[in-house]
Amino acid sequence: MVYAFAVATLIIGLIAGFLFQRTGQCFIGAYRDLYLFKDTHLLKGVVGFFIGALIGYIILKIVAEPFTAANFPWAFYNTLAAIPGSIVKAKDLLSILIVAIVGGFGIGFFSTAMGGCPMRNHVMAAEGNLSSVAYVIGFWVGIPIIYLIINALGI
Amino acid sequence: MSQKFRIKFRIKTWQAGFVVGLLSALAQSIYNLMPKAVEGVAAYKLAPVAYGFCMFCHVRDIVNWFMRSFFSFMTPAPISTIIPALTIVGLLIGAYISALSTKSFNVRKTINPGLAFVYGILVASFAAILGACPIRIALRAAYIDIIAFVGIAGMIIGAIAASEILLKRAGGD
Repeated sequence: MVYAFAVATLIIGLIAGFLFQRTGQCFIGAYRDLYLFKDTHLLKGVVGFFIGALIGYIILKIVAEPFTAANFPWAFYNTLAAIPGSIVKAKDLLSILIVAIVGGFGIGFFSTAMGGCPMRNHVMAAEGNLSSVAYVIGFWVGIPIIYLIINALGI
Repeated sequence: MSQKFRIKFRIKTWQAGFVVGLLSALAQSIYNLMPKAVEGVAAYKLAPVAYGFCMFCHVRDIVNWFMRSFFSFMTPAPISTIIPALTIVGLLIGAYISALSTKSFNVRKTINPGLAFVYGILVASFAAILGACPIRIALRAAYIDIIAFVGIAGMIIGAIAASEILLKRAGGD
């Protein structure tokens, strides 16, 4: 069962790619369209995603308490902890907030400039958009580069 | 062949979002099927929460899986030292199948590919700073993480700032 997580995420990816290609879902375009055109078409997808995930976690909390969602209301167990995946190891609350704002701002700004969130660009690359293919290559190359830079700076 | 290969299928945006969100949340229970893990610690104790769907984290884990010997300082999610998540592979295949079946596959360019490459690196860098992509930040927000809501607020501010610049540039010409 070592491969269970890989297989599960592969299936989720297949379903997500299929459905989000049909609906043209974009998690940055939702906010952009709301601001620019007062259009809530994509925002409904984000809200649906949020509600679906919330229901999923509540189900896990009730059904499979000890393992899967033991610290489910994260804010209740880890009041204001930093997001664990961040490469900047922020310790105090102010730097955690700054990291969240700066990281979020950068993603929002450059994703809007590009015309979609990373997921949307992967979908468009699969649709044959060469600009998105270049973006996807940059995304995949960029991750080891940023780790290299952070490691060299010793932050 | 492409004439016959059509999948009749209609779905609303909120329905698609709901299905993927629910599955991504339930993916967390899969950890329980993985009894063995790194140095005797069970997998579900190492696994990050709200980790069912992430463009940045899962790409990082796959890159790390193949380049571990060169980039030993990369810190992937501990669970992906056993096996990386394959969301991205599935996403590309699923989107390709869907694009073929709706005949929306066509080779085209929207912006200069060199610029798009730079945008890819920049978005990857800021996702590394935040520790999540726009999807996983929504997933973490559903896990009731206050900092995730702050990150979403930052994303909205960034999207508004870029929209203003795009509007100004379009108006200036």
